[in-house]
Amino acid sequence: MSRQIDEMQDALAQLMMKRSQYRTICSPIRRMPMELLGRIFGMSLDMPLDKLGRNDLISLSLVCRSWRSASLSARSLWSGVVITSCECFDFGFHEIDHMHDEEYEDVIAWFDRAGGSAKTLEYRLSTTTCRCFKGDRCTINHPTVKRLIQDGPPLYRFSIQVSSVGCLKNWSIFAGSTSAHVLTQSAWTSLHSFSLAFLDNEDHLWDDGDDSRPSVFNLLPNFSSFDLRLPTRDKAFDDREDSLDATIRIPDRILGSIGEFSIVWDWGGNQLLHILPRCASLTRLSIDLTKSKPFDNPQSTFLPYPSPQSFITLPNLREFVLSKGDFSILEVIRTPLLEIMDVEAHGASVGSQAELGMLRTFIIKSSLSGILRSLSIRGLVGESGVVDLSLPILSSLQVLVLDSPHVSSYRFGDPVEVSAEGQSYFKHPSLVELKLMNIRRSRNTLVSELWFLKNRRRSNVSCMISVSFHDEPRCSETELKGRASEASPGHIFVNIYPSPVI
Amino acid sequence: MVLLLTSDNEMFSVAEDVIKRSAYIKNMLEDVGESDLPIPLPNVESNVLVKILEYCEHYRGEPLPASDVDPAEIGDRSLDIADWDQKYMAVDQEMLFEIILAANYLDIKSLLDVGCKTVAKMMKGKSSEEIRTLFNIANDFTPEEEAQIRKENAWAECR
Repeated sequence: MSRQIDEMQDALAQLMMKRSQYRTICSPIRRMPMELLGRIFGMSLDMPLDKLGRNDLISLSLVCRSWRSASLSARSLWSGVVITSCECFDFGFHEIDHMHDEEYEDVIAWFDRAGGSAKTLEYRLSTTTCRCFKGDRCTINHPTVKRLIQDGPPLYRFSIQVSSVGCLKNWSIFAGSTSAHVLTQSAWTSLHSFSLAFLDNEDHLWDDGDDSRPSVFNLLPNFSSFDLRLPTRDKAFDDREDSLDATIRIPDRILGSIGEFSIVWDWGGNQLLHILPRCASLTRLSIDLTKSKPFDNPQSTFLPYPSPQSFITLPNLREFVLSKGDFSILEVIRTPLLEIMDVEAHGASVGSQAELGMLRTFIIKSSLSGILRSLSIRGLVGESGVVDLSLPILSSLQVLVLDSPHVSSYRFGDPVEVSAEGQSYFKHPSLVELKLMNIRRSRNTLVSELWFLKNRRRSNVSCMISVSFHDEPRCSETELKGRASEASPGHIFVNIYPSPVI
Repeated sequence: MVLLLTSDNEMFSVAEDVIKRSAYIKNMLEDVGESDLPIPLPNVESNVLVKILEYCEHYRGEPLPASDVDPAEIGDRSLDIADWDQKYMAVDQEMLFEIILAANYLDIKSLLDVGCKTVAKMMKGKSSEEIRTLFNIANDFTPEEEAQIRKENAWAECR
């Protein structure tokens, strides 16, 4: 009987193996073409790849031979690398170089798989405290990063985190070098984007000298996109007043050539108003004010600048992003070619009408009526959850994104405006996409928005409404679709997204 | 109406504004003009076409969303999927991959995007062994090859 059981178990094992083989053969994923697999791999990874991300890519490569081929064919997957400062910085000067002496070749081998794809190198600090001022090795001096910049392949994007101005000055890439020497490093030959972030848990006073000494920004190479995160005011200045007068001495060589500029800055002074006029080629500007109010500061020595009669005109700007912001900046800049605008209000507690007033004036004064294609407004606060949005006529506006957990309903005002000459104008006749993100639950969800869209319709322009709720919605998707269909059958459509959307 | 002939010889009569979400069919109709002849779809079986038509019918008349631009081109790596699309994609694996293949063949970018995102979400953060089990894939590497590939990311450690 035991023998019979053994035989049956053997037979069962064989059958199970056969079943597994058949399942493998029939697995529908085997029919996926290589380019689709590569596309899926790209979606499942967060680029550029840090250590965990690289492990994930290796895991995908290890599934089977065809997945290995697919991953190698998708060259862009191998094009971005994050190197993080590691624990061996605690071991002393020579140990660090020794412990990383083979790393350079391995990174080069990784980058080789990217072929001619644009390459990204990112250096991150694992702990946000550098003790170089106590004689320890500076966390910025990573031997592999240094060699990659000196001898590695040309980079398209480079990103670095540093603790202080002093660290940047002492960086071995720059130490003892003139800016002319820096410009010839192999990694910089086709550099597009440079990202520099000052991050540290300890205080490091901002010490970028004065006009008698060259600024640390003079050491940077040439690039066309600059992403700058300055240290927080609390960490970089003893007194609030010091931050107002501190200078950010980015040379004209850089400012005059950048097309994209992104800055995170909470110092509270008017420095930015001196930087922007020198950015003649700017097409994209992103400002994160981290909740500060920099343009309303009577103690700044930079005032009055610009004078109330003069504005900073950014003649080529196409895209402007203002995060955690003070809308006062809209009162001093003019952007006659702006197509994409994304602004986030901050600090309003009872209502955002002051901010919306500044936004309306900016749109009118910059003559954006026929130019602006995409507008995102975030963080608005409405009385009892209702915001009176009433924007000026925007005849080119195609996409409108409204994102606020404090609002349940937006009122767009009269859909038709009549000019002094008696001519009627539809307010947003080109709007095809309305995104309502994080809206509050309400029994009247979409009612006022649909009323506006129904009545602004001049021709057969359809509009897609995407909705995500901040909390559990009161209305089902079917109910909202029904409301849209009732308001304008065949022209307004609704999709619900899980929060947060997109 | 447009006639479609599937690989298993089933004929479907579909409203033009429904099937025009497929760029392949749309271009064909524009090139050929009106015709009584069915459009052969040798790569799509009838059960899959039924599912594809359910998607096209749901989005009938809607403007092509921004996601109809290839997300890889615009750098959109978000894995967010609309509620209805998530429910639509709650099918067995065989059908899921058939939908992706058909969306690719018929050039319905928004559907292809949703399908690829669904698969990407299924395997995100999983080990190679877990992925093999998930999709019934046999490991055809030798242990030596496997060790060699694993070494490719070994530089992420201090030595």
